[in-house]
Amino acid sequence: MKEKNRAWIALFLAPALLMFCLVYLGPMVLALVSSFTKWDGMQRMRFIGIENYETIFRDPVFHASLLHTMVWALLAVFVHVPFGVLVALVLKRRRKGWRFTRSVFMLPNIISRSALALMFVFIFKPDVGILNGLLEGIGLGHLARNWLMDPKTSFLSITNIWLWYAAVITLIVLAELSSISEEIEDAARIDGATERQIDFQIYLPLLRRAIGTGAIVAVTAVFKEFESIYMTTNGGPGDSSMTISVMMVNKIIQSNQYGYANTLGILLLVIGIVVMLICNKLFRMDKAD
Amino acid sequence: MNILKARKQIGQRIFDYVIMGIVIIISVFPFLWVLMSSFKTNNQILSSSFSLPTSFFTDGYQIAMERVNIFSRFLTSLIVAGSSTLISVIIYSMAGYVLARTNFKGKNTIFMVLISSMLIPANAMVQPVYFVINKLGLYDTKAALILVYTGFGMAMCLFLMRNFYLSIPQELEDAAYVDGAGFLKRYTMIMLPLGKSAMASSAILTFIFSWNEFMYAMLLTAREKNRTLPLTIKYFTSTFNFNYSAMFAALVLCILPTMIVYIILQEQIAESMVAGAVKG
Amino acid sequence: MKKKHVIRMIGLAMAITVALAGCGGNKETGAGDNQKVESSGAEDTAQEESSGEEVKIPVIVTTGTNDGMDLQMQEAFDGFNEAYKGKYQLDVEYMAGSADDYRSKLKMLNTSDSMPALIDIGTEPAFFDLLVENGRLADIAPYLENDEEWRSWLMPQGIEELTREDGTMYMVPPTGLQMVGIYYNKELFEQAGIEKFPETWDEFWTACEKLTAEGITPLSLMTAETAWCPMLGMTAYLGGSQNGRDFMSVRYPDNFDTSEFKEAVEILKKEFEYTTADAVGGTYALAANHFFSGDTAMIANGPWMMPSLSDPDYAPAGFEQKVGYAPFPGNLMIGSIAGWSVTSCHDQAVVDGAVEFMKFYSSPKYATQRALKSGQLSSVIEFPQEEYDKLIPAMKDCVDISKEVEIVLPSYQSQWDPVNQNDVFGREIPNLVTGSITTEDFIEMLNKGAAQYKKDIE
Repeated sequence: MKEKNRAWIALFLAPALLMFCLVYLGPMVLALVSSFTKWDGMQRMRFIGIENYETIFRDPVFHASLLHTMVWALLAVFVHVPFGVLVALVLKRRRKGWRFTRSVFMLPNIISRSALALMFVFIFKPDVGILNGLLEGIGLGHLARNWLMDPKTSFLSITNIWLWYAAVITLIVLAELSSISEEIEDAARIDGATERQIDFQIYLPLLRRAIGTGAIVAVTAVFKEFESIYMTTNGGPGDSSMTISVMMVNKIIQSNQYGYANTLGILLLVIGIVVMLICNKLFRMDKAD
Repeated sequence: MNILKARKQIGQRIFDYVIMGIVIIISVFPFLWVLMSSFKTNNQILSSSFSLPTSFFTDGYQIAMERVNIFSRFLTSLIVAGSSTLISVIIYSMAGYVLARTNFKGKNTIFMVLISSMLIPANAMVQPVYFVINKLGLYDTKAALILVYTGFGMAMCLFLMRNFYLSIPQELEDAAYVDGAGFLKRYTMIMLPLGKSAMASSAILTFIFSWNEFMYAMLLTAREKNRTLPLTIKYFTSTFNFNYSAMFAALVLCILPTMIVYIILQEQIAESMVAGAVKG
Repeated sequence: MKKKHVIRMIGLAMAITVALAGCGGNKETGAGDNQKVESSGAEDTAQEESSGEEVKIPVIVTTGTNDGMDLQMQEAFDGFNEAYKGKYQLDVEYMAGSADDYRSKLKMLNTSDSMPALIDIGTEPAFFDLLVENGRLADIAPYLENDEEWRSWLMPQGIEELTREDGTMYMVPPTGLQMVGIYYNKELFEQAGIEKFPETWDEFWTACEKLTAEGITPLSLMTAETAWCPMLGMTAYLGGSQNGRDFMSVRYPDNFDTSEFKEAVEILKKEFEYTTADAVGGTYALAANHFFSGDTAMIANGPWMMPSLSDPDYAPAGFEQKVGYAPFPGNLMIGSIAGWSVTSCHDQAVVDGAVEFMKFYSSPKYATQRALKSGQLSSVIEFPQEEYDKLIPAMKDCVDISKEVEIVLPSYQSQWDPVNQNDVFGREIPNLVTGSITTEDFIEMLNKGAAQYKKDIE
């Protein structure tokens, strides 16, 4: 069986591998090589050893970016994903209107991120923004502020642009739920289990891998998240909402610092792989059921 | 005991509806906002962003339709997004199956490498991707966009498919093997039908991404016939110019087709949910 | 009136511009002499190529929503293709995107040495320098040297400014300059009892006080997009002193720690005392909208905003009649000389054709169009009187003040390094004006940014 399959395996993998080589191999190799050089994207690369890495680790902007990126990763795993899973479990019970709910949840993902960010700019606006209006309405006017431009609140304000929009997670979990037999649930119900017990004791363990998938998808997405910051604060004020990917794009746009930017890219890649391995272990994703 | 349980169930019911209510509010709100804004003037959008439009201002749509050939772009978008979705679903389902259900040396490494592509920000890849596209002679073709979007969807699709196939009980496949089914037959007769919901999810995500992407669409195309719909949105906002009413109108025109595709594919998932039952 | 001297006077004004420090000012270039020259007269220069096939000249332009400049360009493309049928054909790609997107595309195409024949680098001097260093641009000087007619259409100051030390020239000198001043709402000024636009900074702040007392927000400002409006005010103030002008004439200054600059930073802070609540963190769109809807009395911007004043998408009907255009206090305006470049990555025939187009584009017909529609006022081509009468008031002001402006300061966007413009202005000005950081902190950051940039490009 093994021998005969080898050809099939190769054949089945070939298109994906080809795609990888065409689209990603170049950028990855280029990023890795150029991270050890000073390069403006045009002239010959000048090898400078690990100078880029040294500079980055000393750069206070990078420290802030790293912190923010990690905070986002944690929020993705501990708020974004659980919310998405929760919604999926609620939808699974097929209460009245569940189809409608499921469909509209995807809407914010269909609307481009820039448009969504623009809407939040208007929500957080200091003068006519609805958040400040709401706070004043309920007598908490003293809390009103320029949410996106106050260094204390800018980062968490931006976070809202993606934090609750977990439709992708819900989609992944729902797909997985569709493959689980309802007989178990029925059996459990006959035994007198409540819905919550069914969710926690039967479904969550079975959904382990889907949740892990969702966690990785969510973390990598926030690592790359760019539009929501670019459209709102561009990392400011100061460094209060800077992340690694925004820092990276800025380096390219401003001063054609491809070497430096690619070093940030490599660091992002390394951090991302570590996070993926952790998730893999955490959710025991390689084990079959 | 039963009363207690019933009360708990009511609690659960209320809880479920509260969650659904929240989801509906936070999701419909942005859409309504975009829809409403598309009927407002620039001034109304900027100064009273959340009020209802005072009159039915359709200039935005008129401008959006006038300035660009919406129909041709719609067609291009459909070809590009449709093709990349189709190709993605086919090739990543194959790869996902192999990575989930077979054993060979270096399997995990290959998976890890393929998946790590998920971590590279698209903004940082412009030059190398252009290099490849240019070398292949695909600059300013629809094929270039199809290739790039298929590539960008890789990690997500592969991930979904592999993990889904992993969760299918081994016994099913073993039984088929005993019955004498070969590799290809096991894949097409057992795995593919069971993997329908994962495929639908992948298709939804790939389609949404390909339909909305505009940076590469902008950079890799030159002629009008290869322009996609989202570029229309971009047209109306540049640094010292803005026309938000037209931009929102264009946005609505872009959103609707995705919405339709989404609802159709979502039914696939719902259907297989009813059919369900392979695990447990 | 002395409209006849308008253009000549711009020439004069240019002569004392700091940007062009030391330029003698070719005042002898007569205005109006070249009007009758037909652009077709240039055809003999490239006769040799005409025997073969039509030469295709690739160009990419961004399509703004209502930018007068883009429409002009489009007209010139069509005119050229008509006039040179069978010989040259411009292959125009209209790109949907911002100026940043356009430059991203240029950079991308540049990696395979396949940029279009004509490019507009705009406010990214670093990219321009890089292209010149790598020999990616064609030298215009030889063409211009042998073409008396073409030279006579161009601003002499532009020719001087863009000629490099070694005699080469990689940017086609423009036919005119768009000078940035302040748009003001006459109705609101009247309401506050201000009779004419303030001429000194003291008067300016008094006017702001008066407007505020009437419940009118004086200024439209923003901090996003390199804080364009407030920075214009600040650098205009800086240009009020000789030292400040000297400072502004330096490209990539590396020491911002001077007493003039400190004072100017205080002015920057002061501007924010007279603006809307959403200026901190706001964008150009927000700032412009406040002005267009009559919430604010003033906005600093260039004449390219003129068409928007009478565009129903932006302003209420009749708004253009209420708006005036004035120089900054101290009779100062801001404008940088920049032009298109011809790339050297195509055949000689294409390069010749591209240069030919630039000449066509510089011809009085199109130069006048540009002056009319987007305020790119020429110093050598007469502004047509019959057209003047048809202009909106702000555009009339623009033509009028250009003849009396005393100082033309280069824009900070073309002089200062991009690291400071994007990182420090965009992100630290909010902190500065809300008091999170001090003037000293701000200046220190600018110095750091400048040093960083020097290191980046070395």
